[in-house]
Amino acid sequence: LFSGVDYFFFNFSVFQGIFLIVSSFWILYIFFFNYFLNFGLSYLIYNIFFSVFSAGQDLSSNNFKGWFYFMWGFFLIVTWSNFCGLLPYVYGVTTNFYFVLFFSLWGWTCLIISSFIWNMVGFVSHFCPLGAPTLLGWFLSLVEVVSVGIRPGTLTLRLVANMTTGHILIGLITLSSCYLFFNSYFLSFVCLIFLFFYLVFEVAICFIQGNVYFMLFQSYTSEHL
Amino acid sequence: QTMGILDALFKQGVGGYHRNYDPRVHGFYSPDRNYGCTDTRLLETKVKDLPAWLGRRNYNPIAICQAIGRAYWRYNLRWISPKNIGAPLLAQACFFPMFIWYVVKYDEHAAEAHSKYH
Repeated sequence: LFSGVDYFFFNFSVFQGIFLIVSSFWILYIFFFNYFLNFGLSYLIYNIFFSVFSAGQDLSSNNFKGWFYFMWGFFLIVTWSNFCGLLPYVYGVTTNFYFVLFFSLWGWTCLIISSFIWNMVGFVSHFCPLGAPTLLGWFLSLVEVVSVGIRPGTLTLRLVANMTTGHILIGLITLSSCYLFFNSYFLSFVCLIFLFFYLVFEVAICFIQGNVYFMLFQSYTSEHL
Repeated sequence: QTMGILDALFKQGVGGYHRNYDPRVHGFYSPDRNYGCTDTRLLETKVKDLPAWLGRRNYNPIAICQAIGRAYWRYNLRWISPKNIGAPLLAQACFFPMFIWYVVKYDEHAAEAHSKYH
């Protein structure tokens, strides 16, 4: 029933995916951000999104408050793309490593360049942790440089791996349900029940992964500047 | 005295209520209504009158933008703003990307029903 059963390999340009997702995430504003109402589905979803909104604002550093609005756009794109990836016939764009790397690398590079230009000495001294022993300082600085340098990779891999694993599991469960259908109707039905609950869990994962992506970027602003 | 951009736009009808709007006649302002149009509706127009109907339309870019705004408010007041909206809204949000990607990926899945091995 869902796109996890679809075994076709989709080869397309990343720009087509960006255009399609960015042109469709405006739906979130139309559907869910009607904050003038105090009841209904709009109110519930608005409250969920507003809790993420306020938590993200608290995380960002005092000198870098405007960055929050870029990250809010990332959060909407990632969350909506994750959710769309569960629908039939829709290609989950966040399962494409290069698509997510585009956003991660762009955001991370902006932060690095901005903090380097704003306070070069502070940016470089940040790599040596406070209270580190003198003999180990060089090694710890190297570790910090590597940890900061692989941040776009970790951000990308975390999201891509989570989404891909979810889609693979959905496909395996539905495949097992299809094969069991010819042997035992009861076991096939049990598989479908399990699939239902797993899909509900996967919808929550979509939102959580977007939240993690957004919160981590916000925490990186508190480290720089 | 030179006219500002906002003043020029206001003269074209951008911003504020429509010049034909009268609260004593129309009641509360409704953003989904076209207060300047007294023509027949598209679905009530006969097919033979359609070219003439299309000729009477206002193709000014400002009028097109206002029509898009009225369409947004029609959708908003029908599907989003009511108290109990429920599932149709989510169903529409799911159907829109499904339809787009079905069309985009049609070449790949068109032969699936007729293929010998799945």
